[in-house]
Amino acid sequence: MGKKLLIDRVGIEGIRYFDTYRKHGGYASVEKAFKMAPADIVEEIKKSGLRGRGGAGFPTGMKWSFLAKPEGVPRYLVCNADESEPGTFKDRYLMEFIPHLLIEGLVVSSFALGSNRTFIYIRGEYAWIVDILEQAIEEARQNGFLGNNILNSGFDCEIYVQRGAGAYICGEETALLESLEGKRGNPRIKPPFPAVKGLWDSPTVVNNVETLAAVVPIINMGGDAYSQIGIGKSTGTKLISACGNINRPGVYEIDMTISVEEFVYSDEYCGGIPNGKKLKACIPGGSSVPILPANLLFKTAKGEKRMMTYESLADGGFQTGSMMGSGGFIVLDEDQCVVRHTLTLARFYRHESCGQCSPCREGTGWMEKILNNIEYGRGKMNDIDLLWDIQRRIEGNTICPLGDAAAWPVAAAIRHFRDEFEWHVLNPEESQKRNYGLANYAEPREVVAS
Amino acid sequence: MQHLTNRAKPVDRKPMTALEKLYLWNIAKGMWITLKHIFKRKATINFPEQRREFSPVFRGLQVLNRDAEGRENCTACGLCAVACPAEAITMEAAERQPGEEHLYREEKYAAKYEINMLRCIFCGLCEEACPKDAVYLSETFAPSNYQRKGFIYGKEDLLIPHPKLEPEAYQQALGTRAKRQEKASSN
Amino acid sequence: MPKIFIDNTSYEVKAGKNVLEACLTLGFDLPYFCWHPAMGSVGACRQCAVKVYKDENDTSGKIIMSCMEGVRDGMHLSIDDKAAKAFREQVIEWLMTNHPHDCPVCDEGGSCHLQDMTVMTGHDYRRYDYKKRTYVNQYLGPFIHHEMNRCIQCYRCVRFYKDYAGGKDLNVFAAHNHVYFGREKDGTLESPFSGNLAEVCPTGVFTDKTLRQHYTRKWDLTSAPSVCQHCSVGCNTIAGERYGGLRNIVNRYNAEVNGYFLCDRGRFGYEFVNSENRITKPQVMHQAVDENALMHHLETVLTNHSLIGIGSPRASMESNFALLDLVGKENFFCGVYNEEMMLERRITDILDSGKIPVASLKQIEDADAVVILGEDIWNTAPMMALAVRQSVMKTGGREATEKTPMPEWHELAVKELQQNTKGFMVNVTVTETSLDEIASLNINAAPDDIARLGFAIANHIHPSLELKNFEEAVLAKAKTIADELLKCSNPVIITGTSCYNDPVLRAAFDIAAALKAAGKAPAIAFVVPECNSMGLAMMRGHAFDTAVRRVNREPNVTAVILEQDLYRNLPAGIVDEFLSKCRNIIVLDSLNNATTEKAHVLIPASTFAEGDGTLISYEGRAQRYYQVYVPDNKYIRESWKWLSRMKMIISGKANGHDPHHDSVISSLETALRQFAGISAAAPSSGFSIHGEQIPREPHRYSGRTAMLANRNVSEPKPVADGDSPLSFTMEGYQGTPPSSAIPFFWKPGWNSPQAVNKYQQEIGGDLIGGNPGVRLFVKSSGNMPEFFKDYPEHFRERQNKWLLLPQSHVFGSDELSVYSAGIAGRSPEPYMGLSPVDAKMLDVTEGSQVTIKSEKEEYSFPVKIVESLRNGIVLVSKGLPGTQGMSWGNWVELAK
Repeated sequence: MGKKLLIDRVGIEGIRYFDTYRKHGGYASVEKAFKMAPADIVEEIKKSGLRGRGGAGFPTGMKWSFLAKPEGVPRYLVCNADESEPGTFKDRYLMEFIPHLLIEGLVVSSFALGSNRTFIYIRGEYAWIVDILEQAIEEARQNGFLGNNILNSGFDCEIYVQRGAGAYICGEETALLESLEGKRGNPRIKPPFPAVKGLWDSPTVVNNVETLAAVVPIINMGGDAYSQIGIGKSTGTKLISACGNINRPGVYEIDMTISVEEFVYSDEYCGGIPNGKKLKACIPGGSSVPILPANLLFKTAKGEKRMMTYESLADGGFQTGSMMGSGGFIVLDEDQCVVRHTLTLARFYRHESCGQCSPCREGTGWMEKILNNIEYGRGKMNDIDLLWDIQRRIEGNTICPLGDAAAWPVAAAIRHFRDEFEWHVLNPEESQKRNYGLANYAEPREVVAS
Repeated sequence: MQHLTNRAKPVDRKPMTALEKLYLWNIAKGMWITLKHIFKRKATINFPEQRREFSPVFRGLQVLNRDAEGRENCTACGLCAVACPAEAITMEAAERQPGEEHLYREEKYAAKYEINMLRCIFCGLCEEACPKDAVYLSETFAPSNYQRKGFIYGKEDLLIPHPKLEPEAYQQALGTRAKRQEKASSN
Repeated sequence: MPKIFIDNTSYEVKAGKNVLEACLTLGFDLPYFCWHPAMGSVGACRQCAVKVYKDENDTSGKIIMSCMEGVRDGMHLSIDDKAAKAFREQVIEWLMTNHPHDCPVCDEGGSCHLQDMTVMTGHDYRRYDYKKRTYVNQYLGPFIHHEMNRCIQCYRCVRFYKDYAGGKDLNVFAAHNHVYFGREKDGTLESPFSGNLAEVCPTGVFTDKTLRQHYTRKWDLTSAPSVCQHCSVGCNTIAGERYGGLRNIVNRYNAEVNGYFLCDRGRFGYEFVNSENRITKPQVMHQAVDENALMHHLETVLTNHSLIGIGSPRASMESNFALLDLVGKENFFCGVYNEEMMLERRITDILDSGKIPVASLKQIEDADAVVILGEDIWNTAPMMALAVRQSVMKTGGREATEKTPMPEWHELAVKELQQNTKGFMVNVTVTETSLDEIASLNINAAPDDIARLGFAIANHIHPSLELKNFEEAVLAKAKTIADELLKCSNPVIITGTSCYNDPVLRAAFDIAAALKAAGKAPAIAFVVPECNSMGLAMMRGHAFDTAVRRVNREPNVTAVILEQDLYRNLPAGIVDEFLSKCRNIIVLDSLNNATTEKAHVLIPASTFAEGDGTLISYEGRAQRYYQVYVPDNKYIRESWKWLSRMKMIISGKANGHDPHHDSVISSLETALRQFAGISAAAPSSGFSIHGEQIPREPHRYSGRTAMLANRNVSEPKPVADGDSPLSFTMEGYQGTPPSSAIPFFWKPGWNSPQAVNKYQQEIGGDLIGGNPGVRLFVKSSGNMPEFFKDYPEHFRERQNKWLLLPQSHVFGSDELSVYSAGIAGRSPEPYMGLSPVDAKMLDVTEGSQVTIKSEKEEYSFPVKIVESLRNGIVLVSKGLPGTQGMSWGNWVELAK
């Protein structure tokens, strides 16, 4: 049984409300943190080795220490709750069931960063969670954990919840800031980085919900103790939202010491594949990370056991590995069609492209159309190479990472499941009636297009 | 000196003999060549009663094409004019107004389209340049005219007959082009 | 100078530029879309990709966008790299996935940046075989045609319209591959700079609607370098003709004047040339006559009469001088309202002294502070307003990037840093103007009070006079402004004649002089009403009043009136009096108007499109415009040709030939020494390169043997141009012509207006061979300017009298441009502005008719209540129908 630090208390009835939460040790970290110097809190976070839980895995302590601190300019902390990646729903779970954990984390982080006004930019579709959060904020304010002079420390902090308007790109930190400023959510060109010029021209830190919630246990137990959990640089616990063809879909907190195989088949977590079906593939970190076929999921290309850690999941690079990403664990069984699945993702990324730079704006639409043709039996053999060509040219050549996120799933699907694409093209009629089934993935193929 | 060709023959400058000076032999030789042609096929034909068959790539007078519904193909893009090596084409563009959709295929058309046939060298570059299949070189050639003015062909001279209103004239104007097009589309 | 290596060859480049600019300056053909030299880089189109290597040993390299990377010393990059080339080709393919194949019907075809770039990247085969996305187009008013399907989403339009020009009604909507650039709903684009969208757009989304009505491809236009006729700024334009009609006006780059842009009045105001109202035949006593009869009649009216000439502020220097030459200096009068003439004389005096340099538009753009005194430049000199906006924005950007260094070209980053930081700009005007929104300080006051504020500012910077009876509030304001100005190094003071108030001009000079005394490098700009007002003022003709007195005194006067409607500039009573006393009235003009109706002899004059001439802009810049085409109508000739012909009649040397331009200009130079050097504004007519003239037609010009064939089958000999080094054909020198004689921008592979890159010394910099135009006001020695000391009294309202001041309108106030239907449609109804208190006092409300009574005339207009107006002033729309000939700057009575 792994350690749980974030959602251990979710089962308690009424934990959504301040009193119950407080009774179960809530806001202890605030009391502790307010006795520390802000710089020491940042130091603790650095020691903990906490990495951003939003997807990129950038060390949080480092990000905080980059924050510029010019005189007379406010600093802002922005909580990125614009969780829109298909397959990822951990933040929603956290905010819905234990909102005070986020508020507590925000108060501590705001204190550490000196942000007197902190924003939660929440995905527009999470309308009901806004109410939950606002209620929690109100409760915290009434109990003196928010507002002016928190715990007589002289530190003032207000938290505002801002709903997004439904654009995935606003989860990208600079687009989020634009949107928060009331502008069109187009990503900014960096530099300047938000840590120097972010929200309203002021130094800003943007962190994921889970990252900020993880600040609470780090303060409570100390950075060193937190860094003991997990393997190597993957410290602490991580929320994984598991979905797809598994017996027990849901949000799980893992302490990054278990293997992927254990996570899929253990009854404590996903509980295996339903109906005795075989595992076909898995996307371990949310829709934008490369899909892995079953043979590469449990074992790396080197034959080592694949663990649920940042490093192990990424082992083998994009050729034979994937990414921890935002922790959206999507499992596909033998009945699933990879082409259709890729089409679904491509459609999502086409729709969510902001339309600023050419490769992403035009490339994603084109990929969707090609995939649509292949899926519906109108594909041509060279469409697959064309698809490969397009994604290859998008990757790394766009202003923001959305282009990459759109290219990777397509690349991985072709890389690992080219047979299935070819089968779709060669058997246009049959492919409309049945699925390809398990891929012949004994030997992962190296695809090199012209 | 090196000869430019190997057919060069030095001229014989020997004075002629008395027999040669009578030219009898040479006259007979010449007459023989002339007489030989009486029995050969005629090189000329009696135009205009008789007409030669054209080569399939013959380039005659320009025709401004219409589509199957009789709408003018030309959009006055000016590419034929710019391609014309004789600078013999000029046109003025106009915008199609609502209600004129049955007259012109696209949103612009040539309000004026003139070819100076006296300048035209029938090279076919206009046809080559046309992106709309609007101008092509037909199998007829410019008839003679008493006045040079008659060689300035305007739209009314160039436009192909309406396929619906004058189907026969249209087919005639198409000539073998219709067959060729059919052949091309069946291939 | 950093040294960079492009494909292993080393080049020296200018520091602080981005790689794209550096490559283009070096002459490499690198495709781009979203980058624009005037608007910087945003990195959106990803078209300008090159490969950059870490050092000379790095072979793998990395693809970067050259517009987003500054040049560094020792930088290694490759344009020809296979991967970079393939990527650039791929970007075009992406853009082409949704771009329609409608080049044949597209107005941009043949001058399309997208076509050029597609060919440049080598992309030819499209692998995309799906449906293209389509949009519904919008009605954007009379100037701009909208065709959204062609959009390649470079964002240039909104960046120009919103960010550069401050427009509010064009935006980007929706997302992903369905981004839409347009207005919220159908409607006229409000900005007076909307026409630039046609040139800024790299493809055919925004095109010139007026050109569409008589469409001609760029390669079919006969073009000549021209100068805008619609205000005193003197923007450089290119005018294009086909089939004997003027087809369009496009920008002609001049780094010191208009740069890459034009205002809509200049761009679309050309249609008067094709107007039905043109004077086509000489008339004697309203009867059309031929040339012989005209000459014969002229002989009788010119000889044995005393001649006087009325010079025109909208005629060329050549014509004005030919008139002066005909009638003699003492008989040369200016057809300008007296008050205005005095002001213009003051301006030329100040500029002649050379103590303070005149600010070119470029200098205004680069100024770090701007003070506008009493001139609504948004309406009287729109391009100057655009330049002021750039000064405000650029200064703000510079301030923001002081702390966090960021190259100027990095547009989005600079904007991000800048946020709302703006440069210092004070807008002191009679009433609110469109520039108010970017001003640091807006002050609305009566002209005298504007002048007083100006004197107070000057006195704060450099005490030179004793200020008496100044209110504390004014002094406090003056102090804040003065303190801000003292922080700057190259401020610009802008003022003009619109206030009809001499002290305002003097105050403006005093501020500039004070700043100079304080060790700054100030410059000054005086806006004058017409395109050659400055030139006419420099001729120092006599006032119109004296002309009236003269005709009253002398019975036997023949008046030669040059290209102007006297009824427009002068009160009708005075003009009537003048014209009735003249024995003979000879009028030369291009369009019929109230004055031509009174003419005994009417002679058709050419417009700028049919003749050569030189105009002098507000900065004293003499700029040459060239004849675009030879009109079919042989009577249409430049006024200076007609006038010289008349001179020959008098002197009895008539030989049936017209004088050449060169000779007119050289006699102008000798006769009036203030114009010395004006001939350098353009190469002389004998100029040629390798024995070749400069062709007005591009080498692709089509239809040459067919265009005129319907008239005469024998192809006519091309007309020779004796007045300029330009030829009326497509043959001639194909290289880069002298900067002042560029008839069109074209280089192999660059058919769009972007070809201007190849005519510049460096991208966005001066033209090769220097910028066109000669500045006639020379800087004098460094001794200090003398201050004006006589400031006016505080403005006092008068009992039952109001000070009559003009309200100019971008569209409508100019005489010639309103002949364009689009501009006429956008000009407002004339109105009379009153302050709320005055309106209440007169017991009138918005819309009620009020009559203005001056000495002799009465005018009636609907009232508009203007909140920002001082009491005691009445504003009337200038130049609109019914508002001609008002006695501006005088006190008038109002009656219900």
